[in-house]
Amino acid sequence: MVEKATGWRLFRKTVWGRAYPRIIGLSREPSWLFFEVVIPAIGLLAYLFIYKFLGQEESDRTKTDILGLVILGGAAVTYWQNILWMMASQLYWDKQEGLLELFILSPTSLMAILLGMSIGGLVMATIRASAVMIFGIVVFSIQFSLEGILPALAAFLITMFALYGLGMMLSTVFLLWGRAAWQISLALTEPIYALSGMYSPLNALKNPVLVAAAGIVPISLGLDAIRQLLLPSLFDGSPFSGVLNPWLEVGILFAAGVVFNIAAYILVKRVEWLAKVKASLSLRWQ
Amino acid sequence: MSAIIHDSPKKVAGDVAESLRTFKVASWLGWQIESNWADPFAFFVFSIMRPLGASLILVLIYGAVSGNNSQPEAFTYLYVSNAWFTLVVNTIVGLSWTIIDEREFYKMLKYVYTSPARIIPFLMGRGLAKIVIGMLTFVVLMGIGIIFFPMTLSWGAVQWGWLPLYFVLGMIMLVGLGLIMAAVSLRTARHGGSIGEIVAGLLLLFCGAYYPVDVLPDWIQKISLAVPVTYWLEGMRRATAGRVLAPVVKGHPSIMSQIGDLQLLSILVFCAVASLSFSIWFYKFVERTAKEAGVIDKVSNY
Repeated sequence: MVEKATGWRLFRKTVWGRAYPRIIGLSREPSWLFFEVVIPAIGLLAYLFIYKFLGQEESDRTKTDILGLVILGGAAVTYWQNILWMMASQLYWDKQEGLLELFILSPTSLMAILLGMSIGGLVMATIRASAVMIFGIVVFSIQFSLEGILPALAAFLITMFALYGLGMMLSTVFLLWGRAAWQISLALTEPIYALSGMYSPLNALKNPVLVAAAGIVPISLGLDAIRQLLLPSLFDGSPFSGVLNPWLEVGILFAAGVVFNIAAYILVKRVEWLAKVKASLSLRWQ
Repeated sequence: MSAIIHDSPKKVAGDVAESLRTFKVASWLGWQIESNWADPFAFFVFSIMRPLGASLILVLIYGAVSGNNSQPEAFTYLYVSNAWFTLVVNTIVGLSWTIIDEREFYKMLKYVYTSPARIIPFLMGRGLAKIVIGMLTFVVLMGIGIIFFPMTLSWGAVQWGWLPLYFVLGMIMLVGLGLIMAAVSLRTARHGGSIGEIVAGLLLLFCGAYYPVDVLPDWIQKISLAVPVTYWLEGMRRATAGRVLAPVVKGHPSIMSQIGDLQLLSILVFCAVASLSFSIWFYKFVERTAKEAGVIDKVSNY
């Protein structure tokens, strides 16, 4: 006889149930190692050669530092893609498959489902990003500052707290946008790469308003902080420098994370009610 | 080829008419699928956001490293190449993604096969919408580049004779590449959806889209010089700028500057013919294996 789960136990089981396929799926089909790590890492080399073409590869040390900048950006891309496709668009896809109505009919909460998606997605993206980083360190001999590893890890955790809070918010909003959500996810891919400084330092934006706008996506400030901590010799001001002090950036990210997660909770309740009123929960291909 | 020789002219004319009809209907269908989710303005904006973002990445990299040491010729190379490369991505992805779209999402691929429609004209027609979007994107990117950025281009320098010639040959070659990716998607479940993007990403490294192939290590250079897209991008850059961009790299004449226009034309003609011929043969071969394996209508749910 199946033991009935209620309250926090049901919440916990829902979170694990939603996270499980994302975590275990990586071991079921290892081809992702080639298609989603090796191939993109090779593609990242293109950005190194752009820097070389523009005259930035003056020494072996500069070359590995620039490659380190690019590889960190490539790892960040993994997280942003996870946010767009496994978080923001996920509820829309669940609606298309007819799963969303089952979620609503079940006794669990949509927030638990979103949290499970976040945790599972974070684990999945971290494994992929780590693979990209290890590939970069081993194959391209990238060297990061040893003193910066623990502070960078702290900055990374705070960044993920904010980023996945944003992801939960986006998934509720995309649910209402319908088919446009897919197009919006596609459209936001490269612009966010550019504005968040995935392949160039964030200070390349040169405009405080643009930097502030880019800061809405937590990955921009997080990446800037992590790069300053791991590549201090590259970010010495000539020609690259950080936008703000890394710890100030981490503080901003923590505050943003609190706001995003609270907003996600409020939004999920509101959107669930609105979706029922607009009768769009069961409509597919809309 | 043997079918053309042995079939009557009437049958051949009928086949061509049927193929054109399939192409026309598939083009309309492809355009509807791409565009009917939003009004024209919103559709246009969303269509150009990705390529605009990709261009912005390059602009920011240039801005970060150039500082007071501007390199307008290098920037022009970067920007013009990137603008033309959007067509490469759109064409290859447009054709390869059609298989995934029809099989996995709309579940219509088996009905296409069981209808009188011709599959290769159908794929080309379905991919045409993305190609047209790619061309519009190119125009917008070049307009933005000329107005806002320091590019060394002029209308008078554009080689209007070579431009359409290189363009047509390139599109034939790219459609061939797209068909090859579509064939691979036919037999691929897990990564079929991204195969076009993966190949486009690799082409970015190898075909001199963002830098002359001279900056690559020797062993990668050899790969680049074997990739047809490298020559097409050189042709389009040359025709757009009216000259070889970045003719000197690190004090030496660039590899591409040593290839004359007629030589480049010959290479592109060969690549176009070879690409299209091989792609049609390859697609038919893979299609046969797909039918034998019973996967034409098999939904993978990936």
